[in-house]
Amino acid sequence: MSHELALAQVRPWGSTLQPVTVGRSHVMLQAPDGHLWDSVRDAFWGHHLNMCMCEDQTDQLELMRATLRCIAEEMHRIDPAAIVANLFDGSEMFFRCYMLDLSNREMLEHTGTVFKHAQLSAFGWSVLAMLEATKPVIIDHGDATKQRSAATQRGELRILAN
Amino acid sequence: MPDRTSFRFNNGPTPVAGGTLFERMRRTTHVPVADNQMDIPRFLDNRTTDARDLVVVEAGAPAINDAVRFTRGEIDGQPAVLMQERAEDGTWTDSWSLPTDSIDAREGMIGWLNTQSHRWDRFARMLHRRGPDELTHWIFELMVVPNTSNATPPRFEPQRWTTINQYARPSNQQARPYRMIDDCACRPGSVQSTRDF
Repeated sequence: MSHELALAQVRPWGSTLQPVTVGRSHVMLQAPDGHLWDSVRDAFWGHHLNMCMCEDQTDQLELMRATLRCIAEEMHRIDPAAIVANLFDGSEMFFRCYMLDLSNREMLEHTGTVFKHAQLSAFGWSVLAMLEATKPVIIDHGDATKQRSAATQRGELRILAN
Repeated sequence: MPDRTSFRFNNGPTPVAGGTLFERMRRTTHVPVADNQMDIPRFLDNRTTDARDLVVVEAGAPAINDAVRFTRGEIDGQPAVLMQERAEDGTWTDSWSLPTDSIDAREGMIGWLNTQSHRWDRFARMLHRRGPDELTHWIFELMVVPNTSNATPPRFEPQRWTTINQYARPSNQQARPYRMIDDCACRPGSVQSTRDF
């Protein structure tokens, strides 16, 4: 995979979070504001993105990881219809909104250009490295969130298949 | 007798080995920079990722893509750039071609394509999914030139001003909207032979 060398050159997001031992053996990650998080994915979702922790958001982070990886592989230039069909339920509006959201969160650079010329920013590479390193293996297919995550992973494979 | 400084900097009458500007610049890049602060944690409260955290992986060999390659070719006597793909039996077949305006333009394109080896398999993927025209569009978008006549490699032309526009140097056939100023010292009408230069 051609983006793996580029992934090796950035330190993943959250690598500077401090591990804190709570009680005897429970290790948590401490964000710079002092809050403790169970995992680096949780810290990214709840602390950095400032998103709601009310539900299991595995599928949302999987969608972000798959989208960032497809952009790193330049699939948004090669075959954007495949991304729309396999990751965004065929909704082009959803895809465009998601690209805008990623650039609004400074994971994409597309200043003054159209979406097909967008690139991952340095921060986007760092987030992609973290999300790839913590990519979950979906075993429990009874849960609806896990089903959506597995569907996202399958769709990503379909997009990147030759 | 020149003083020590001019002697060392090769300005004196006697040239010194290693004293040219280029060799002095090359030596200065080899001077190791001692950063004594690298081993101790410097910023205890700085938890954000910055350029200091970048881990640079030096690739010993350039990326080898043994499935796709670009070669020089000819189409109807015209120089062209060819993309070849490797089949399962190891034979290379032409899958995409682009005629160029001149050998110069072809060399410029080959030189640029050789810097894009990380994209060669993506080029092949684009070819198989969207067709040769879209691949051509994408390559020219990436090169940021409108056509192959502007894809010549940059070169030093001593009779011209070297500008940032040297990729698209003006051709003599076209009528130019601006005036070309003759700056050659050997011709009587040039700016260097005027009194005010």
